[in-house]
Amino acid sequence: MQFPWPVVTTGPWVGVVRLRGLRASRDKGFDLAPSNGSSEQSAIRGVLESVDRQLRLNRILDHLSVAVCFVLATIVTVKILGMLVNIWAPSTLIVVATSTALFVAFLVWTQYGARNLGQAAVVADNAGGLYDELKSAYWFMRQDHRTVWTETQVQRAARTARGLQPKRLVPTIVPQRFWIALALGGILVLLGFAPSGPPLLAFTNMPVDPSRLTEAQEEQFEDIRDLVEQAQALEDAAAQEDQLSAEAQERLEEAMRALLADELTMEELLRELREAQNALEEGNLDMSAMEEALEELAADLEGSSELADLAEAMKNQNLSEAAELMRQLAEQLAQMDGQQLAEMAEQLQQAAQGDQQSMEELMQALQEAAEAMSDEQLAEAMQAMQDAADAMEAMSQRMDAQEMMNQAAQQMQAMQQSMSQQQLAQQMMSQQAMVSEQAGESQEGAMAMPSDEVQKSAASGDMGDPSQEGGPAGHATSEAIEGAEMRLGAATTLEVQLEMELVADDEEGPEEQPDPEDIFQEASRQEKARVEYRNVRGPPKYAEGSALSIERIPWRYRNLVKRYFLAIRPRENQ
Amino acid sequence: MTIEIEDEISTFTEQFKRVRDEIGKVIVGAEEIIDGTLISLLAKGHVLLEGIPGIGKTKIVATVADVLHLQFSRIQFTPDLMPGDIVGSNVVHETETGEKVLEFQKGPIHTNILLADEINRATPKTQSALLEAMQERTVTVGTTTHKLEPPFFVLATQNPLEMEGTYPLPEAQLDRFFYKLRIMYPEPEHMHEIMDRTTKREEPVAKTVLGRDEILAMRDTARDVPIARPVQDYAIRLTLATHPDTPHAHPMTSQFVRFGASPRGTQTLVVGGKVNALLNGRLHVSCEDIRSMLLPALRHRMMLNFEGEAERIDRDDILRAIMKDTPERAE
Repeated sequence: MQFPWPVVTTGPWVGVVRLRGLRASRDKGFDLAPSNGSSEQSAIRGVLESVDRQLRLNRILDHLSVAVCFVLATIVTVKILGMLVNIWAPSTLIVVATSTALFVAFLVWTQYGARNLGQAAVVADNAGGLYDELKSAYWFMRQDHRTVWTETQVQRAARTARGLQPKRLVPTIVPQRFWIALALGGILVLLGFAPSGPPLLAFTNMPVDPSRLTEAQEEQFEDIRDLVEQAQALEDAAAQEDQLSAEAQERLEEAMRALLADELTMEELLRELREAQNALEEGNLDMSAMEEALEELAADLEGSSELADLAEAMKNQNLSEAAELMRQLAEQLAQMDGQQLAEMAEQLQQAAQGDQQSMEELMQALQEAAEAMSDEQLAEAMQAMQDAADAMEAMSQRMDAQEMMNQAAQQMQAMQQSMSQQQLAQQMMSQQAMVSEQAGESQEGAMAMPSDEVQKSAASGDMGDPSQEGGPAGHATSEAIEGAEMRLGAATTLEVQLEMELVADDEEGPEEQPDPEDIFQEASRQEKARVEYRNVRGPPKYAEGSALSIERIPWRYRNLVKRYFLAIRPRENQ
Repeated sequence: MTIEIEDEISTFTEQFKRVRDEIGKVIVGAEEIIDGTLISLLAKGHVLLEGIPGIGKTKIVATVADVLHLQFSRIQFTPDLMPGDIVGSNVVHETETGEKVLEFQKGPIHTNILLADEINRATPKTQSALLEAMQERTVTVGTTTHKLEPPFFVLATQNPLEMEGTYPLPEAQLDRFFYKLRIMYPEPEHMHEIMDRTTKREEPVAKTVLGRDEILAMRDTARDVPIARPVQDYAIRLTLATHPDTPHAHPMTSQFVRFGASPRGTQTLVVGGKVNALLNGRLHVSCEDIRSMLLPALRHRMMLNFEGEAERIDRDDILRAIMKDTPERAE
């Protein structure tokens, strides 16, 4: 090696001569031309880029493992939940497709422009034990102002970089989460072999299983269907325009179809039944109007002796008999004299003047009959009275149909109550199970109604004969519901409890505290006074009180202050 | 050129090793103290050695002075020592012509290596006499400023503050010490070695191996070592973490520290890191170099608050927590 200065190779001054010489050569500009460091820089950059790629690959694998675990965990959870309760869940394909799309978007978002060679240098330095050599070199490379030292450092770092193997420095790491994902996949496969069936835990939103309807409920359902069919037949016979039973029949059939197809929840079934019941009861308004109109009609017809029986039948709402009597009167018209006819015509005319919209046909027929009688056109009068009888028969059929629909509605109400009871019993049992789990065996007795009692009173659906008015079924059911609500209502909060106690105290009034003076006097009178006077403290003096009460040091620092003064106290041995 | 730099580094390392080995002939153990002392010397700093009496503080300093071919003075600080006893004073001098003039009589501070033994036994007034000398390397007496010859290196020893008859050094003076090194009691195996060496007829003597010019050259070399901005940023963040009520404050700092380290602390970390990098044969300062400087460089630059003093919190614990919780950054 040639040095441009005298080299002293022995003695203590060897170093200083060397350093001086080096410095002098640099100061003179010796060999200060910038070296072509592009190959060194590219070597360093190449290594850092490789390390960066490895880092990003590991990061992607890590994110992928998280995503796969999350997706599989979601699918497994949904599957298990689906086996326990009835929930709506997207199909596996939708979950996988959505997650994949989201993951790809996430990757694009995180990886786009994420190249960070500085970070790669840090990782490479740490992994290779390089003491920030690459990090420093990467920094120096990017600076405009370079010195001999930085150039030398970069060259040295490049030599180091060439000896590095990025894949060994930052190996591809398969995250351990993939094992979790594998386990979840296994669970998913096992769940695929699980037998399909109804959910294990039935709550309000579980579908109603037809097999779980009680026999009484099934009978009720059949009765309702028969009644509605009969009502429909009567309505058909009466040629009624708006057939309410048809709508109810349609709803019932739809509900039954959904029930058998397992598409209906308990609440939905109850709602369907309620709406069908409303449809059936809709005609009651017409019926009441009709009954009022018949009473008015009967009152109008009572004035004539020939029409008295007819009026009586109408008054009793017996329209079949009224129709028969009307036909008999029609046949007897020919035998009546003019005065009788005039009298009947007047009564019928008076009755036809009423504004009963619910029986327009009857009114029209009576009007025609009255006019024909007034004109003494007996044939036309007879025909008109026959028409009136037909109208009465149609009205009678409509009333019978409505009666049947009312019965069906009652049956429906009983069935609803029965189902509500069954639902409530299930809820109570599940709540009781939860409470038992939380509170343990000791609190089992706290539950107001044991599950067997609930089942006995509610779930059987044994409601008696619902056709009886205010029958035992509905009555007993509502009682059970109210009782259950009372027993299982919301827990009393502390505030309410305290408020109740406060009110109770106010009602009782403040308890009078005996005056201490009286105690002493009374004890003295009874010569039983035993007052300990020696340890009785009098009221503190002002100085004492102020000394005790004034403390400016916050309580959390008092111990610290105490220890401080203990620490700085004079030593005992000095 | 690269070869020259490499030679410069190897020379630096070699000379440092020679000095260390020579000191090691006399001083057993205490490698950390010896390295710290030499690093301070090469970083143009001063050292404060703290330890209980009798564990070799003065011996270490005397040995360092022996190894280096430099002027050496020793001042034994006592309560009655006056500033004039250190820096010197103007005395009346009669010339040959009989004229009386004031002549400056140099004090012991006019040297290269100054051993300020038991510095905390002198009063704060006397301690402050060192302030100007340590920072500006000058001494002002009256209206005249006298420049001290480089290298000027103060090696002060002090007993723990809890000892009787000591005056704590003012913060301004503490800040002027590059390092504060704590000398611990020797390990048993070191004690055996000490007994073997010092209880015989002849005690080992250290030879002079390094001269003034070499030291000055090494000082210049150390300053040339480049430091990358991320590493410098790391040093700054470490320093800022010692400041309470700042965004960088460490939780322990917020709880126990009243004032943090000054910018001199950061300078110490960086310059000390440069020397340490050279000693490890590197051309750049690494975060590891900065970390190795943290305790001796900053432990005397933090002032504990009342709670810290009362809880007898060790500043080193705070610094270790800061070191543990301050991350390195890429940029």
